[in-house]
Order: sequence, then structure tokens, then C-alpha cells
Amino acid sequence: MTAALATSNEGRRKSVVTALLLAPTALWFFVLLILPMLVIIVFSLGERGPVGGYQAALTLKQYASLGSRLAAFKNTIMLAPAGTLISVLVAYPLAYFLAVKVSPRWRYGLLVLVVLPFWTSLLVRTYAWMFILSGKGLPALLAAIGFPEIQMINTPFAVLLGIVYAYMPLMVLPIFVSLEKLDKRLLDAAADLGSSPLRSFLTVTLPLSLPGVVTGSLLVFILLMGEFLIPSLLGGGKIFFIGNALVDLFLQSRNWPLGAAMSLTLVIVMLVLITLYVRLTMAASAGKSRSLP
Amino acid sequence: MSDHGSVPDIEFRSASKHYGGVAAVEKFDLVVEAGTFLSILGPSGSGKTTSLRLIAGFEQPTSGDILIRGQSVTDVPPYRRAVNMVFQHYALFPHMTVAQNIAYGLRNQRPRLDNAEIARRVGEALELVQLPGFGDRRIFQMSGGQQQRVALARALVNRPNVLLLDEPLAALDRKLREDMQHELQSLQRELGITFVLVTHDQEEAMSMSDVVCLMNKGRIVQKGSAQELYDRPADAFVAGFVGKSNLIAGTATAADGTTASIVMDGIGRLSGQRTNQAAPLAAGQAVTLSVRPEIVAVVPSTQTLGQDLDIRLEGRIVNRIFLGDLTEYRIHHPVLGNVLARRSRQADGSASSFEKGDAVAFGWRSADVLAVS
Repeated sequence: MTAALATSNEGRRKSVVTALLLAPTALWFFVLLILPMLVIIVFSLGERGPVGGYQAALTLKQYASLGSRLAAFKNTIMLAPAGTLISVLVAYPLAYFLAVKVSPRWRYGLLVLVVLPFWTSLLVRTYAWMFILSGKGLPALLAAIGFPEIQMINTPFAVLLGIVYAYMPLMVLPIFVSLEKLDKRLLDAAADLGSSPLRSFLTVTLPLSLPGVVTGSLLVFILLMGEFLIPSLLGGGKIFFIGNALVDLFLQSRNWPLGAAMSLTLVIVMLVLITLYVRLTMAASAGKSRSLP
Repeated sequence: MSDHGSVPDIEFRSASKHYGGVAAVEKFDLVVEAGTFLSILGPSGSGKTTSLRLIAGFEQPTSGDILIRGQSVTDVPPYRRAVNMVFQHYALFPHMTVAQNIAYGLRNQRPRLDNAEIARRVGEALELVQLPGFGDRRIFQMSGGQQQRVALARALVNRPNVLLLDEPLAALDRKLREDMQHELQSLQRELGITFVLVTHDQEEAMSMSDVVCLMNKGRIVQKGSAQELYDRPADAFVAGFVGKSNLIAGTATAADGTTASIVMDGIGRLSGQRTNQAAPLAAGQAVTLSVRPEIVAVVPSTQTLGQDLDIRLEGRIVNRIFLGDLTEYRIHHPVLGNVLARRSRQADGSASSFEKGDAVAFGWRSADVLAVS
């Protein structure tokens, strides 16, 4: 009897400890994620007040009028995946070079250089691009050596350049890690079995580094979907993302319900795209998906 | 055994491999006849794995030449060499099934093989290594012993002229290792292709191979059958590395073509038979006597040793290791230090086995001792 009591006390104490350990995280999530989400859901079903802000209502008309902001959705859904794809194409060779070709003596020093831009504010660096791409920058330089004058700033090109530049380190790191831990003996084995270096890369290195590519792509893609600084500086109000539209709706035109409806739609679109992407990459590396419990 | 006339499968011609001035393999000369099971045996760092990687093409010789079936392969990349390798730790592709692993080499063949042919040969290979029906398994679902067989099948399915094996059994437990030793040996007989196996385990080398090539510090120390290495070691290193041995080093007081003697304080004259008659030995030169544990006779100090023993000593048992059919004793002698002796169970008898601390008389016949330089 006393023994049973002791065990039940023990059990209770354990669950109390668990609850205490989880409390800060739970509180954090509740106050900063769940609660604001609920507020957004409620707002998205309301109406704009006479002087802006929110007025209680129960209507879906905000969702119906999302069409007026279609350009922001189109830009985001085109440029975020495009930026992610270009980042992969640029980051993979760099990560491969660092992880495979460079001698271990230099490897980590060079890796620090990749991350080095993070030590300066993104705002400052994006302003720098603004000057480089504006009329008196690169286009003027090209014109001076005989090229026709090209508009660079405020184009999709400028925005893509800006986002690839800003987020590439996030892509390089996970790919680097997956390439570095790749067992080099597998490449010996592939060569021994008659694979040319190119075929070894395609059949061994690439599939085994795919998890790094997936991680990097998700990191970059999620951040790009919410991006607003780079399009606002390098897109100059012409190429704007959903993030820019949200800033406008909440801070300038003070149409909170439409803003709320738009952010919820963004979350849903993102979830759908990420699910599709993960499914596809899992299917591509069939081995990986079946190995999951 | 060879059906290719007199062209050896592999030939090293004074091949050396240096890493930044350090020689991993130095002036290697070796001919491997077709159909031979050759073991390259040596302690770690002796250059045995490097020599295998030179054949496979993962390393290029710094100087000298390597020939496969009479053709110099120095400039041939690994993926164009008609040899296949079973890697240490197997190096199986973790993202492929067992069948995909085995088919990997077949898919690289030009002209292309059709899928039915590949499937047929993968099935055959799985039969050969006794894993029929395992094709759809994933690598991580296989035990260590099964992975070993997959690695073997992946190499053999390509029908190489030469199969290279880099410490293939090192990661297996003892029972499995012994089974695989038998299997590898019968597989080699059955297929009739050349096997070159690298190992640090002398029992493994001696039990499986036709020819053992013993390496030390990048050089070949001795090449011959297992029995030759055991009975006629070329030098003290071979005597110590192949089988167990009590090595007694000294300066020759008398030597001729067939015997050599040393004199030790408190014991007197010890002598042994010369093994390497090609290297003459003169008085005053260093010599090592190799006394195998199985020639050392041990009796309780109250009894007398057999009349045929010309070396008679006394000591005390310091340790006993029971090996089943044999018992190994470590006997302390004031001059020689610890001397290893082995007694078979029959000779021991249950009543007369020794305990730690027992005073014993021990000795041997000089005719059974080897004198190596």
C-alpha cells in the first residue's frame, strides 16, 4: 500500500516536472502564435472601420476581394520559387567545391567567408545593390562601353538578384553539411564498378546530398514567401510581394480585415506548396521515403 | 590453373608509392598468377592497403609500373579496369536496394545490357552468395554478415578477372568470420578467378590463401605458402608475425650454413637451424632464435624432462590461458624473461595441468629451433 502510494506520488511528481519544463514553450507558442493567429482569423472575417482598423462582422467578403491584390500573389508565387531554384543552382557548386575539392586546411576559413555578409545589416547591403543597379551604376557602366542602356532597378531581375544574394548562405550551409558527411569510399566503390566521375556524381553524390538541398530550399523558400525589404528597395513599388501588400494594408490604408485575409491565404498557399515539394523530393529519392518509419 | 597461357593476372614492377616523401609502398615486385588466391598480410601501416588501391587504380604509383594481364594500367582510371573490389566496411550505397547495389556495375557496362539480363545476373549473384530473394531489401535492413555478402555479390556480378578484398572479414564476429573464410575459399575455387586479399590477421591469410605475401614498412618481407612462412621464416619479423614464437636475440658465437649459436649468461649455449641459407651468417653477427611454443615441453619440477631435450631450464608459471584443445602457459625464467609454451590436452592430462606459481622444468630440442637474422 505504501509502495503503491510512493509510485503514484513518483508518477505525479514526474508529470509536474514535465509540465513545468513545457510551460515556457507552451506559453510562448500560445501568446505569440496561437493567440495572434486567432485574432487574425477573427479580423479576416470582419469589416474595415470607417476610419480604418477593424469593425466586428461575420463576412467572407475580404476573401472575395483578394483578387484586387492578385499582382502581389503572382509576384510572390513566381519569384519565391524562382529565387529558391536559382539559389540551389548557385549554391550547390559552391558547397560542392567547399566540401569536396578544397583541402580541409582552407575549408572552414572559406566557409566563414560565405557567412561573412551576415555580419552587416541586410538593409545596408540591399541599399548598396540599389546604387549598383540604378541608372548611374551598372547600366551606366555598360552604356559607357557601348551597350544599349538597360533598365535594371525596379525589375524582376533586380529583385531576384537581391534575394539570391541575400539568402544564398542559408542554402550553402545545409548542402555543404550533407556533402561533407558523404562517405568518400562510396565514390571509390562507384568508380570501381565502372562509373565515370560524372555518373558517380549523378547516381551517388547527388541523391545522397538531396536532404541538404531540401532543407536549404525550405529555409530559403519560407523566408522568401514573407520577404518585403528587398522587393520594396529593388522593386521600387513595381515588383512587390505579399509582404509589401501586407505592410501597405496594415500601416498605410489601414484595411486590417483585408490584410488579415491576405496573410491567412499566404499561410495556406505556403503549406500547400511545401507539402507538394516535400512529397515530390521524397518520391525522387525513393529510398529515403521508404526508410522513414 | 591458368587458362591464359603464362600471362600473370597482376604484376608489380618495382612500383613505389610515396606520400610527400614518405614511402607507403617501396620498390614492390610481385607477380600474381591467374587463378591464385593471394593474401597480402602485414601489420597496420605496412602498405598492404595501398598496394591494393594501386591495383584498383585509386592511387597512382610514384614510380614503377603495374600490369593487369600484361597491360600497363598506370594511366587507366579505376572505372576502366577489369578488377573489382570488396571494400572494408563494404561501401554499399545506402540509398539503393540490395538488387540496385548489385546491378550498379552491370548498368555501367557498354554496350548496355537489357533489364531482363541485368535482373537475371543479379538473381544469379544473390544465389551465389546465398541471399536469394533479398533483392528488394534495403541495405540498413541487412546484418553485417549479409552486407558482406552483398558487397561480394556486387563485385562478382561483373565477372572481373581479379577480385580485390580489403579486410573483408574484419567487421564480422568470430563464428561468422570462420564461415566466410570457408565460403570465400570455395568460391574462389569454383570461379577460378584471382583473389587478392589484404588482411592484418595472419590466421585469415594462412587459412585461405595459396600464397601469402608478408609486408612490413612498405616492402615485401617474404612470399610463399603459409607453411613456408611458418616453417622457414626469412627473418625475425616473419617468425614473430606468423604464428606465435619466443624470440631470443643475441650475437652469433658460431655459425655455418645450417646452424647458428649464441651464448647467454646463466644458460650457456643455445642454437637453432638456419632458415634462410641464401643469406650467409658469420660469427659476430646478430641472430635471433625462434622457439615456437609448441616445441617447448613442460613438466612439474619434481619430474625429469624427456631424454631427447638438449635444452633444460627451470622456471615458474606466471599465467595460464585455456584454449580448449590447447593450454598456453607463460613461464618466467630469470634470464629469458617470459617463455610461452603450449601443451595439448592429451599431454597435459587433467591431473597434471599447472597453476599460477607452480615451479616447472621446461626445455626443447635445438634441432626444432629456427635461427633467423
